[in-house]
Amino acid sequence: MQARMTPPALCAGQRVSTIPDARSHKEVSIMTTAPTDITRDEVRERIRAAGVPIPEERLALVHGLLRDALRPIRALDTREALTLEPAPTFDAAAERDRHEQR
Amino acid sequence: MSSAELCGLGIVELGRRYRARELSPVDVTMAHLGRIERLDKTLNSYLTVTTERALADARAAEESIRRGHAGPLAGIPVAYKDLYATRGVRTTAGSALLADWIPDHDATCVSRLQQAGMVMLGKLITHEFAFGIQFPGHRFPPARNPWNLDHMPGGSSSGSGAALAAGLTVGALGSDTGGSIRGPAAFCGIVGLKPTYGRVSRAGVVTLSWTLDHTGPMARTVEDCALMLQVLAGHDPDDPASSREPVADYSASLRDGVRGLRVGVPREYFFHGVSGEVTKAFESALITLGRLGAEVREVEIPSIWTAPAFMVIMLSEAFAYHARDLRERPQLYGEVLREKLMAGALFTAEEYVQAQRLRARLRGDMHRTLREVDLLATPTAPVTAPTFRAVLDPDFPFARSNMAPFNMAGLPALALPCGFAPNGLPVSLQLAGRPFDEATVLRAGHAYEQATEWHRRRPPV
Repeated sequence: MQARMTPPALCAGQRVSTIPDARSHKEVSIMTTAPTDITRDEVRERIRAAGVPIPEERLALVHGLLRDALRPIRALDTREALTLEPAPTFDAAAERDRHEQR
Repeated sequence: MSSAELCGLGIVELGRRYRARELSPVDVTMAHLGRIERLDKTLNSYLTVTTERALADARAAEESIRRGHAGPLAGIPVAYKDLYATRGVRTTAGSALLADWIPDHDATCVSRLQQAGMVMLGKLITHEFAFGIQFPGHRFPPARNPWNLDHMPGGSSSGSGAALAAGLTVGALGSDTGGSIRGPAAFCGIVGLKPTYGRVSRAGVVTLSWTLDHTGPMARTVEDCALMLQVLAGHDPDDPASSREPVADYSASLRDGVRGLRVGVPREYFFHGVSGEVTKAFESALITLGRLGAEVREVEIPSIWTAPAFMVIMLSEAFAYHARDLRERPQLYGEVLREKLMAGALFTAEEYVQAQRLRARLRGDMHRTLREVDLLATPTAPVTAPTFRAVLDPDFPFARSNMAPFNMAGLPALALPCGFAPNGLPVSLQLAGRPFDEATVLRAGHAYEQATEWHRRRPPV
């Protein structure tokens, strides 16, 4: 049986992280999560390592993209999801078919 | 009948009048070409207008209707997002890289609609490589929203949404990696369907992200989308992801109503950042569905907060697709798009795999939720169409996508009008269903549409 992914909001006793409210700029508390967001310095390091010419003035844009995208991945405790497999090819009906065969 | 009235007719009504000899495909095509000539200088929805081709298609359709051999799409004007390859007609993907590409083949979708007798009016503008908004430095001027020219029409199928709303075509094709069919449908007050992953071929459509890209129809009514889907759906050996799942008769159950259907409303995630005017229209739509006999209840999708991992998959795959050109010809990309694509090089292999694992979990949770209910309902977009000025501000806070989770799960999702904000801009309802159950999604959308008047409103162009 697959371990249930721990939704960030259910990680009790850990620091509160936030996702910015896109409309109002206010910070709304919607995730309580362990992971640390990727920093701008880490993004700079990744840019150097990848050898892609992303100028400093676009750093904020790129940092924002990576921060939001990586947040759920950094919240994943892989030890709790050892049987969760990525599909090598994507099949929208896979889960339905698997269930129906049971 | 005025040009505006003629060009506001849908597939069903045009087909009826063609068969009754009340209207001619050639006359309808000429009316559309004239309207494009008059209005598109301002709207910028078309990149290429194929006048001679349109008239030839219309004459052929007229002949087949006269002989009684025509299907429901014969003689119906259509236009294609400029991401779809069209034989002998320039296909740019909105990019300087492909500015001179004239394909020697049609995308499978184009081929199927042409074989059904549709009349090709031209190619519709797309955001560069179907990614995000049109940034400064874009090669082509952006399409404008017919409801208010200062506002964007959504993207990336921006031309498709704008042209349909303005009566510059009757049907259109869009593509949808994270909402590019449903977003323009929402912002322009028209209908767009992202079918199940694998249901409609992607062959001949320029790739953004292999495992997230979907193709599908856009029109002004749910029934028109159903008629187009009927022709588009089905296995295509040229698309490695194409499904062999049997194709349903989408019109057969279209009028069965929603009585007894269970509609789930996932309040988590989908309602953060939703404006008051969108919430009001959405809640009113739920009341309407309930009044029509649907059982509306709240549901949970436990892993919904993993949905932003979408961007890891999308950017990684997009970078893989563009890697060589980004390194060798970076000057041919719009500057902001270039850097966003390059961000795809910054994820690790582990992060891409973890994102695909989270996607598998999300898909599983959504499937489980869809065993409790027949449909999911959410606002399509959290806000109405923003202004160009707002989105070009580097600090513009883009709202979280309510559409991308359905690309992650590959589920069919329909966007249709459900109201208007006080500023006159459309609001949209999103209905999603089980894999390959487009029939139920369309049936519910049609029932809602028949009970409301939103789809009959036309912009002041």
